[in-house]
Order: sequence, then structure tokens, then C-alpha cells
Amino acid sequence: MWLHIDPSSGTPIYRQIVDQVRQAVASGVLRAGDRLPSVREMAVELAVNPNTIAKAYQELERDGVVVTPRGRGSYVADRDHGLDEAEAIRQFTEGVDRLVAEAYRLRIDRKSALRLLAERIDEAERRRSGE
Amino acid sequence: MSDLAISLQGVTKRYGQREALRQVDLAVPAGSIFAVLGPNGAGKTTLIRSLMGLMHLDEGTGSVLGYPLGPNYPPRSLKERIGYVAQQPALYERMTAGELLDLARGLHPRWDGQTVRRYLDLFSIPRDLRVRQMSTGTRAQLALTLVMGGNPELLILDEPTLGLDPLHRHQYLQLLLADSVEAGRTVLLSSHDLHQIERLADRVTILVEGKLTLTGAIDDLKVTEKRIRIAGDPTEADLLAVPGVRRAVKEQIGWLVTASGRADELRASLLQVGGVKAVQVYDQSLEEIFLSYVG
Repeated sequence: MWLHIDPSSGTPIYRQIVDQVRQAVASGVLRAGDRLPSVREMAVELAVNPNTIAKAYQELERDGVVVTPRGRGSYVADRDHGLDEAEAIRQFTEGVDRLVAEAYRLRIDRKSALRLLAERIDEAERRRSGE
Repeated sequence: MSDLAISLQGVTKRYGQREALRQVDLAVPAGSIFAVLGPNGAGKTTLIRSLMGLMHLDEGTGSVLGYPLGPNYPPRSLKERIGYVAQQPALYERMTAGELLDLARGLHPRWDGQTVRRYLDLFSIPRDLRVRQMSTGTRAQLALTLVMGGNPELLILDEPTLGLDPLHRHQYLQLLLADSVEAGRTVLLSSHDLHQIERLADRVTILVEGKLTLTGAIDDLKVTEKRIRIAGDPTEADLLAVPGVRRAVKEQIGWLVTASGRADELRASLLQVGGVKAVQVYDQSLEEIFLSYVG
């Protein structure tokens, strides 16, 4: 399993799962149409309470990352089309704020930060369009 | 049937002058995995033993799977529905695993031989192994096998994974989850392993000196229980006057505050306090939340 749970983190476990699935989708590790393990499978594999997994899946579904056609299994959706633009921007800004703080801490200047971001976007796009 | 597998109201237990449990109210939803946390001597084992009818209560009422606590508690018909593993399970030292299982089968009308065979296989416990030859970890595994064979509706586990190495602990918890949740089984457990509880439990309660100090869903607690770093030189009294603030500790630079509430509201009200220059709110792990109530 490519998910890693860190119970010593202050981040609730369902949120760790949501974040990691999102990252896997964004980076092309998971592709549209891929089937996620069932709630039970994932709960047993990770030794995590199934309600926690179910909560993560519900959030992923509400955000349009995952679809559950006729309630049978969870599949990676085509894109985050379920979100309206304002909410998408709000969620993205949260991540950007974290990056800005890290850039300041690590003395990464504006130019390097923007270059790195562009490189990573290019790389993720290449990987998603590959195969 | 009621939605609560266990409910207690105002339960008090005294040992001489000392109150081991003080006015404990507890509500364990059916089908949930509920963890009782607390430092040594906080009353966890007393609480668990009361639920098993192994202890006379001085005050309070309650019920387990619909049966009221009281003089004739627990009736035989209820005992069959509860699987109880004590902290150091008393297993007959001279018996073999197989002999113990045969004995347990005789006591349980709903014995599930298939589950037992599966567990013995997974745990690699030979039927002819004598208890006195078993390691602490193997004893814990056998104790789980014995109760799961009885197909209980309610599992009560006192420090169940003590003595298991990390690999076998993970396997133990996987089995517990796999075989409890779909069966709708309620699990009440006590543990010191907070990382394990964080994964496993729906709800936790923290017992300190016989009193329940905090009860809730783990995810909710993580949203509301915050650690806050404050720059500036406010007074302790002013900080403690802010709603939700439980503790303020002066540090070399500024103050460290523990508080319950929403991050944005706490930040806003702390910024109003005289002398406060900056406020940083941090999330806490279950372990940090625990320490903030117990320490």
C-alpha cells in the first residue's frame, strides 16, 4: 500500500488519507478510472478504524476526486470537476501559504520558488499524459 | 435494542477512603471501538472490572447490552455475549492451547470453530503447546482466540497488546478490525499505546484520578484541542480568562497555552489580550492531547 499513516502527527488520520490520495492523483500515481481498495480492505491493511477510512472516502467523493458509481467501489474521477472555482482557489491557496512559509524559512528566493513550481507542474503533466 | 452497548451514570467506587472511580458517566455506542485512556492507577482496570461484574459499585447505575448493573449482574446469558480479556489473562498453566479451547467451547453456545482454526493458524500456535511454555505475546494471541471463538457481541480488552512486538501487534489489530467491524461488534479497550488507539478507536475517553476528563470522537478532539504559542508578555490571569484556555505556561520566550475551541476563534480572542504580540495555533496528536490533560 502506498499510503503511509503517521499517528504521531497532529493531522487527523482521515485527512492524511485524503491528502495522500489527492497527491497520488495529482502526480499520476493514481489515474482516472483506477479502483481504490474498499473501505474494509484499506482499514485492515492500514490497521485503521473503518469509519476513518469511510470519512476520508466521503470527503474525496464530495470534492470530486473519487466517484462511486451506483455505490459499488470507489474510482478515481476524471478531474476535480465537482468543485466550484472559488472553493478550488481557496483550497489551493492553503497549500500555497504553506509553501510561502517554507520558502521564507529555507531562504528560497522568489525566482527559484517559481521555477521549481513550474518544473513540478511540467513533470506531473508529463507523467499524467504518458502511456 | 438500544444504541448504546454500555452506559454508566454517576458510577463511584471506593477502596476505603480512596475513590477509584468518581461520578463516571459513560456512553459507548453499539458497534464502536471505544478506548479508555489514563495513567497508571487512574481507574481503568477498576472501570473494566465493574463492567464485568467483578466489582461491587458504591454508587451509580448503568447497563451493559441492555442488562442493568446490580446484585445479580451479570446473568449467565449475558456473560456468553461478552468476550473479556484481562490485563494478564489467567490461563491454566498446565493446559495446552487445544485443551483450553475445548473447555471454552463447552461454555459457549455460539462457538465458532472456523474462526478459532483461522486464528491458531495465523498466530502459528500449535494445539499441543502448553500455556507455561508460551511467551507473553503468544498468551495474548491465545486469549484473543479464546474470546473470538465465543463470537461475542461485546469485546472488553484490558491492555490487549501488551507484550506483543510491533509486527504481531499490527497483525493483532488487523484481525480485531477485520472481525469486529462488519460483525457489528462493540470493542471497549484500555491502552497506553496512544498511536495504536489513534488508528483504531472511534471514540476515546481520558480517565484521570477516577474522573473522566475528556470524551469524544478522535477527529473532533483533534479539531478542538489546540496548543498555542504566544509572543509578548501578557499576564497569566488575562490568558486564563479567555474562553477555552485551560492552561498557560510561561516559557523562555512568550507563553505556551493549551485550549479547547476553534483555531480561528482562539486566535482572535487571544490577540485581544493585552501584551500579546503574535499567536500561532498548532494541531496536536492524541498523545499531546492526552499529556495536556494528564500532565
